[in-house]
Amino acid sequence: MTQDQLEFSITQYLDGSLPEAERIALMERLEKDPEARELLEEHRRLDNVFARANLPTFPLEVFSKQLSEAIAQAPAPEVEHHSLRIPWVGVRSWMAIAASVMIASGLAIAILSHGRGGTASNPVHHELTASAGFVTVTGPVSPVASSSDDVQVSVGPSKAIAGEATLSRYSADLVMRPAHVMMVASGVNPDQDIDSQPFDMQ
Amino acid sequence: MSNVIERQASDTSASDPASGPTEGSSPTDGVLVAQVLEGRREAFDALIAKYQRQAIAVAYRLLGNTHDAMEVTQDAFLKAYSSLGTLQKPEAFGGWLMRIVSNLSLNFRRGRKTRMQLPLDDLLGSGESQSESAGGSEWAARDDDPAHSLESKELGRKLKEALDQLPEKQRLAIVMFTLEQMPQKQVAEALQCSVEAVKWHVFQGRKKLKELLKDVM
Repeated sequence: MTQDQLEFSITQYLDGSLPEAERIALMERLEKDPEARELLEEHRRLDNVFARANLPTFPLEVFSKQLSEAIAQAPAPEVEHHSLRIPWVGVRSWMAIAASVMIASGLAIAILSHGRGGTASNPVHHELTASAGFVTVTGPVSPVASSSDDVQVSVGPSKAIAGEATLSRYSADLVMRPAHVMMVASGVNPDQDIDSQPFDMQ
Repeated sequence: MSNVIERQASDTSASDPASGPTEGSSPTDGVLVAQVLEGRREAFDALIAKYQRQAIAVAYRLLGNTHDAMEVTQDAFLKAYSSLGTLQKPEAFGGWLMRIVSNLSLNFRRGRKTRMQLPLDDLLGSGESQSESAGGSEWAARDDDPAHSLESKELGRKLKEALDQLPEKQRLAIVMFTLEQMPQKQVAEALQCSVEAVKWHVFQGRKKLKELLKDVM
């Protein structure tokens, strides 16, 4: 026990807030240690100063009468209404909840719109129902990779997008580089120019 | 040792946060606050009766004279009455009131320092200041209390000077807990800290006071 810990225990002992187990330990220490006893005496002398520096007698009757009259003239306190208020939900919490709902809605719309990607003009179309983002790719028959079904591809703006007047200026922004694309199947689109555009993105 | 036993008994009876300094079989603070909010203004008189001595004593320890202490305490009760609807825990009225008292006392001290820095003519020009300094008000006149001995007054002055040198939290913890014997929980509510923090502030404050008051111990 350091000097500070000992003194802290002594002050708690004097104000009566020292837990019983610690009180017993302090008593044992006080029996053996004269410096600890001197410290206790110093604090007792300090308490004696506090007791001698007593307060004057306050004119409480006059005070309470005047205060009561002042209160009688004061407007009644207004009661706060707490309707529709959840105590633990503050403004920030409400904003976080609103943001979460917006993100969830956005994701749901994105997934649903991806799921409707196929058209009759594309001979190969794979409906995927996974919740992650995906693209459907058609292209020439290529040799099956011997190692893994996973391939890494970069997807750029298709000619269709580049040709759209309203979208052409965003074409650079539409370039994406997905980390992984799972090749579920591949097929041949006879109209596709495989030299300039090896894959036709839908 | 008798001090220890007295304090333990006091804190045990005050373990209920609703209990106050003069509680008997009277309604709890929570009940009284609810009654005031229902429009029964006389219930506030019961709260005044229960806490006025403690509130004036805390203000007196911080301000050093009866007149200022009573003025600040009156303001504190009026403020508490008008803001009663905002009190989150009605049963903690005592701690909340003492927080208002201590804040107003500290503000009053700061204002007093500013007033003392004004030119002498400005101070003497005010009739109110003259009557106060002459002890002309009803409250200030009671400072000439025969029961309040010269030795007590002198010690009180030295104690106040020593208290003024402590950091604010330590000063308030010593005044409320050690000098005015308020329950630790009520002090914690007044200082808006934990009971453990109150113990620590008291300990640090006592260590400093021991040095500062060495010559009168």
